[in-house]
Amino acid sequence: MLIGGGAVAIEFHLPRLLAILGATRVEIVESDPRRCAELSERFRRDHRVEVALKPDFGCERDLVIIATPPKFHADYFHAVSASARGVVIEKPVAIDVAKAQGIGLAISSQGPTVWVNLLRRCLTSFRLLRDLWLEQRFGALESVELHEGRVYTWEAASLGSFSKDLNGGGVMMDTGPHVLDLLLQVFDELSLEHAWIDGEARGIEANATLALRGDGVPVTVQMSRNRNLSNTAVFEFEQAQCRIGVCDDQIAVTTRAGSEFTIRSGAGDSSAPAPTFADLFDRFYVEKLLANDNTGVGIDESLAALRVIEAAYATANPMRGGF
Amino acid sequence: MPDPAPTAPTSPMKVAILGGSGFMGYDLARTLHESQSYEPIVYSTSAKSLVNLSRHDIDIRLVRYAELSQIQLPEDVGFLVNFAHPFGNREALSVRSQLRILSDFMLRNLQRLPELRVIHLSSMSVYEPFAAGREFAEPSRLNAPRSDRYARSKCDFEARLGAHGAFRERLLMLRPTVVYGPFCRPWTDAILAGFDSGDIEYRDLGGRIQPLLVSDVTRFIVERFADFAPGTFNLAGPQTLSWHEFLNFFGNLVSRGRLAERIEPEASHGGTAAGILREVSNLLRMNLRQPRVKELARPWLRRLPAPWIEKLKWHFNDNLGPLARTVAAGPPAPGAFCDAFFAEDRLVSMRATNERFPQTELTPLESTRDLLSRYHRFRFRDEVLT
Repeated sequence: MLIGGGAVAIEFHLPRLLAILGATRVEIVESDPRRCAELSERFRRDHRVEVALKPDFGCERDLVIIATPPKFHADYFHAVSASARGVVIEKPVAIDVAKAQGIGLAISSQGPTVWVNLLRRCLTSFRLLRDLWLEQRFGALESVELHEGRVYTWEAASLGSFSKDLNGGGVMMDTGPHVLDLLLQVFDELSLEHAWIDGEARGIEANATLALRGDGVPVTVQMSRNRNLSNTAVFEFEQAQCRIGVCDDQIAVTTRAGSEFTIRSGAGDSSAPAPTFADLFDRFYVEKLLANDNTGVGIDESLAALRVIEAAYATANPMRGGF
Repeated sequence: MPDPAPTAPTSPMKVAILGGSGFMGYDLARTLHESQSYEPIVYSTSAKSLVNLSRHDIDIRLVRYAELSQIQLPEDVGFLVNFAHPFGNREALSVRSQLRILSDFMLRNLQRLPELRVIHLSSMSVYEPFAAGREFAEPSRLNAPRSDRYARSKCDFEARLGAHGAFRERLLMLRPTVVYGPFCRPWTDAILAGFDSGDIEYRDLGGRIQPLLVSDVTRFIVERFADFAPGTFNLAGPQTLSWHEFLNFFGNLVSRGRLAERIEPEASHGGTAAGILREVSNLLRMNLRQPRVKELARPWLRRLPAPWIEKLKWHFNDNLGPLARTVAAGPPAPGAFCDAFFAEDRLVSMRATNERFPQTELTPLESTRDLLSRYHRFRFRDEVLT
């Protein structure tokens, strides 16, 4: 079952459910009658796909994917948790920490296997960087800056991404789970020191800056929906600077002596382009869902990121100097 | 810079903005919101470009084109400012259908609300074809080439609105020229991103324009809320500059790439099929904007299936100007500034506007240096904001 008929559900999950997992029947649940009618028309010739406005959540299902605005994640999870063997929840796992904890509790009492769609766990670079750090390959880690921002052009089907009520916020709720998850692949603990956002009281932010500590190391994170940032994480070590694209498998190293080289995990092709969003989706389906492995993409990892996000919203200062 | 709300009313006046998610609509909506003398209500037909607007505590109403026929503006709306225009195939609606829906929406609300006044923004493309040294005045007959459906749809839009004599006294049609400023994709972002990514190639940048800062458009509109005048008015920037001068200004802000005249290689295709195709494609792209070439191509294009025509239009930027393919805020397509578009004068007369609104203040390009430098760092650099 695929709950939610938005772009990520229809353009990314559905084709992979059919092609990678080999689903023979997918029921799309869309609560908006107009969108439901559109989807019914679009898939009327595909016997594998059925579109429903009000489904029977009690039927047993192999897999349920929840790809609605975050506000509804927890409610849908509880509706299907007794009848589904596995549940994939789009990030962020829930609209707030309390709801995410509720999901965690349900899982711990014989609930289904849960995957949170933290695609970037399928990258190898940040785990490799952690290994380099622990080995002290380039000396002590002094600071980290991560800049992720693109001008938002997602073909949203509704106002969901721009609604505080439905989404919980703006770029921090959208990009934050991914960005913080990258850092949580390097650090055991992330704690918030300061936050700045540019949204007004009832508006939602397009820009957020977080000052964090990752296992004691100062970390600055910038996220944006209306800036073209470099989309890199820069790790300053005593003896080298390591740069990693936020969606890349390799690490570009510049030593203090000036030599430059790249490192990547295993026997990866160093000339291969960085994976696209679609590539990462494929990896997630193959490495996590097909392999029935939710290591790194379970509820605990998501909760860690959501705690930072919630703390940031609670304490954020208005951002100055933007546009 | 004067306050954009010179004689604002005491209680907030509701201003409906249609198509307010673009950079001009956003600038107006934010200015009205910040003035606290106005209450903007933004109607948008797409959720794609709401990133900036949604930061503010502004009433945003997402309505599909198909729903516009049922939308009634609130009764206490004083002004409707329209930035929307027919564009491609939206919601599977043809340009003609969109045009009908938009104009019906505006006319129906003018009929419903006797106090409502409308400011409709057209654009420079309406004046096509331009001619060297000629300054188009408002009474000049709009005569966009038949092959330029984008410009023609704008002409049709104006004609439809203007045809209703009963509403003429409540309708101001504003025709700004090349508008630039923060969040403008073709005339600011694409240029900054182009220089950021290296040299910008050109063939002939001798065409002259009157570039207009977006906040000048906003100020002009806000001033009309207090001093409304029906009719059609050009709005051009205070200077006549060549594209070369205009682009160079941005190049100096970026301090990276430079303008580089394209040296045409004699046989750059190297004899390969792909190379020859590329050459043919470039040749077509350069010439398809010529009205005569468009006229000749039209009967042949009509025989192609509709999806092919859409793909060709996309590929050759037909109708929408050479930077139409600039998506998000990325650099322009290679060769975009080699288009014949940049060799043509696109000048309008400001006489009528200056006579009717002598207080109109316009910002010289040089005065925007600090603003656009800050914007460049904001939009394209990792400068940490706190």
